[in-house]
Amino acid sequence: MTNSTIHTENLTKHFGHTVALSNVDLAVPEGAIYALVGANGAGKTTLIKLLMNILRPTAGSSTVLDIDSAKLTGQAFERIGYVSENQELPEGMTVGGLLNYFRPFYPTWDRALEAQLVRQFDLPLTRKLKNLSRGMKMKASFASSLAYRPALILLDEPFSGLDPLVRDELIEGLIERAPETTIFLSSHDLAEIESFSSHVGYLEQGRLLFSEEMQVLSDRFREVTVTLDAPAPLPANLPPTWLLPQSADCVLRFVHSGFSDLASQREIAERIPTARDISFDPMSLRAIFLAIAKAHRDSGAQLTAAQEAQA
Amino acid sequence: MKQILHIFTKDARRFWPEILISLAITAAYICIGPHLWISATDDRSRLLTNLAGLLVVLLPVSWWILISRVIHAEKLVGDTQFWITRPYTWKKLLTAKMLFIATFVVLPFFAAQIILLAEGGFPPQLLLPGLLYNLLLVSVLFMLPLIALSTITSSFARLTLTILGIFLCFIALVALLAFASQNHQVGTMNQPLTRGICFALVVLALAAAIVVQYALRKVWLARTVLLTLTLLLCLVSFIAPDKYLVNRNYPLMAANQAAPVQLTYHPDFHSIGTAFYQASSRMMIQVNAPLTESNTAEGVALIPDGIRAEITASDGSHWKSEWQSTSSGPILPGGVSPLVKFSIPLAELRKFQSKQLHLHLSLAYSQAQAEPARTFTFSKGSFTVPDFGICSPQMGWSATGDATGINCISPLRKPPLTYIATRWTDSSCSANAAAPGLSVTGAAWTGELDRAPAGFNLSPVAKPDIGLSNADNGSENRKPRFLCPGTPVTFTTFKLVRRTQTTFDIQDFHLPKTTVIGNQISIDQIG
Repeated sequence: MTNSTIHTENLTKHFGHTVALSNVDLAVPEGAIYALVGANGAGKTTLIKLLMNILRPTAGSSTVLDIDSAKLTGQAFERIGYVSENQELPEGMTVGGLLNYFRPFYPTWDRALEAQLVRQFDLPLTRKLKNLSRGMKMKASFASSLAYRPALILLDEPFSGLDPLVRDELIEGLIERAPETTIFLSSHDLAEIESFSSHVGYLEQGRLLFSEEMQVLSDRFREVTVTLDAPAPLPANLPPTWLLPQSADCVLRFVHSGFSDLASQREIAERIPTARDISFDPMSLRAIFLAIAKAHRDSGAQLTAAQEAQA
Repeated sequence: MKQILHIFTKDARRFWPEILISLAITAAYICIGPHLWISATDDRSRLLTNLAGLLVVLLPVSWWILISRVIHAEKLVGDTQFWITRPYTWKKLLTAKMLFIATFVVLPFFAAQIILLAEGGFPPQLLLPGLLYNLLLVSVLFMLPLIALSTITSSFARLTLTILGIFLCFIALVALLAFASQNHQVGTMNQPLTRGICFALVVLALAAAIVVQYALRKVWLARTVLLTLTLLLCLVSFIAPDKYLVNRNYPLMAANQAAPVQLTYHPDFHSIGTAFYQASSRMMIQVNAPLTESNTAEGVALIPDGIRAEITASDGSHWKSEWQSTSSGPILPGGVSPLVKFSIPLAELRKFQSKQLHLHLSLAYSQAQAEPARTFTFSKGSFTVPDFGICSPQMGWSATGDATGINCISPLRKPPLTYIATRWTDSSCSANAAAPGLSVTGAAWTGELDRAPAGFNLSPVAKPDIGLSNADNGSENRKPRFLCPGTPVTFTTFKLVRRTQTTFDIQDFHLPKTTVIGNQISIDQIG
């Protein structure tokens, strides 16, 4: 038993020689709205498919609602909702037919909630799914995955390609469910998840670079500007928490990824004795992600260069 | 059960047009099907016969579409299907699909078989085991492969392509083996053991592939199972140890056992005929060995099933064939002299043709015993031959309205091996009634010795070929002969007694002479 709704340990997936996911350790606490962010091809969909037992891992393991993902089947899905931009729906069915069909599968199906979702999403019950727009299809998929009040909802790029109006409607529907469920969603667009996510993870090239609570993330990242007495080069052996350091004349700038009010001030003063002034500026989520991604790429490039030099 | 019925209802609602079309084809088949065995006498009935033939093709095509549609509704290939993240239980899903196929494919077909049997004049309630066996064969050999292939494909188009691919591979394999093989082997598929092994393999592998797909959705594993099945079938069908199978099914007679037939070589008992062949070293040339039979017990028929020839020349050179199927007809006491035939590659024939040879023949044959003969009086109406079928006059192309043969139908399978004998008249029946002329014997073999409870047929009524001998007057204008009302028709049914193998040696044997004419070779064959 774990305290997390979703838990992964060294989860790895290879497609032939391509590493889609590498040693991902992840824990999503109960009740969280967890946003998994990453560029296209970062491995988000693969991770969700592994969690849903759609794909089998090459190595590692994962649990969802305390059930081994590899054994996730049948009745376990009565408590899980899954919506994906790529999911094939029974296109020949009408929206009403789809809801009628799914209803008996779920003992917890709430007809009142179903009616509310139909109203809220303005779903045309008599129209066939194949005749619906992308946004409408996604709404129908949402309604059919929320109406049974699942304990966990997994959404794979749910807002991708949707117009802002539809996106807001879906987010609204999702947030209404948030108190009673854990939500795990993937997105390549920070802006669309920033406003309502409680936790965030960043996946790049199959590696989970970080995974933590949104507030903690915002609190520990600061853009630091150090004004020096005189022009000086970058000091050697900077701490690993100082990302993207750069200097120009009498100014030294970096991103502090382990910011703590007094301790950070003291640490900088000790390492840079010529510091005349130190300022800490809060960062937007976008700026934090860019800093992490750039730092990761730089360190990767440095590592490659070091390996090449060694060779 | 609730979930099974729920999925079943969803599929039935969704695929009602396909169901309707399939049922309409089945209904049309029930209405027109009897024309498959009723002799066409005018343009209308010929049209109906052709339509019935078309329906026999359309019926399995409608099943193909229906099975594909229902399996692919919750397809098992891919990772974007809606149902794999819903509370589906694979056993219930599989049961729902099987229930759908049973309801809309198997049951209507079964009903059609019952109705058609009754239409043919056979009481279905007495033929229930055979009907069920026929259903089992059609389900296992046609529907089960379709279901298995549907589970490993993602759409109807891919399924169709896969089936076409399988057919192409099969044709290529058969062609390859035909080119590679120097001898026509005894059809190993006709041997009960091989047939049983193949049937068991097919059932097991197809069921395994279906269960693997539904339980695990491991496409590569299911495909491997089906590929292995195909390879095993090829192995059993084409590379089966014929020698072992023939020796097992046709044991050599013990030394103290009397041979059921005495064969004597008559080198002069022949006429010469010339056959032309394209000059190709791969060409198989049929060689006839004129033998006469004697000592066959009364009421016994010997049916040659296979032959193997071994040639040794005086200079020590040697050639031995594999077991070959033989087209010789049953041997009856006092019947037509048996002409034993075997095939030899043209290259070997040319090597041995000028030499004095020792021919060692191994014959595998079935020995059958006649049941008491039953004689019926030929009439203008139909007559029932118990344990055989229902027979009626064949009106065919007679201008006088007289019967020119016998048509028979039998339920679910070919009739047992039967010798039919009757008397022809040269003149029309009305002329013959006024002044009876000479009558000529007309005889025919029909049916088969090995009989399962039913055949693998879509039509529940079989129409055996009854080609009575001496059907025309043999003169240059070949006028038809007639079967007149009142003529006795005798049916003698034969039952298998045993299968055995015997050998026969011809010390001074010569292969037929060949002459090269351009790129053709003429063979002076013993006829």
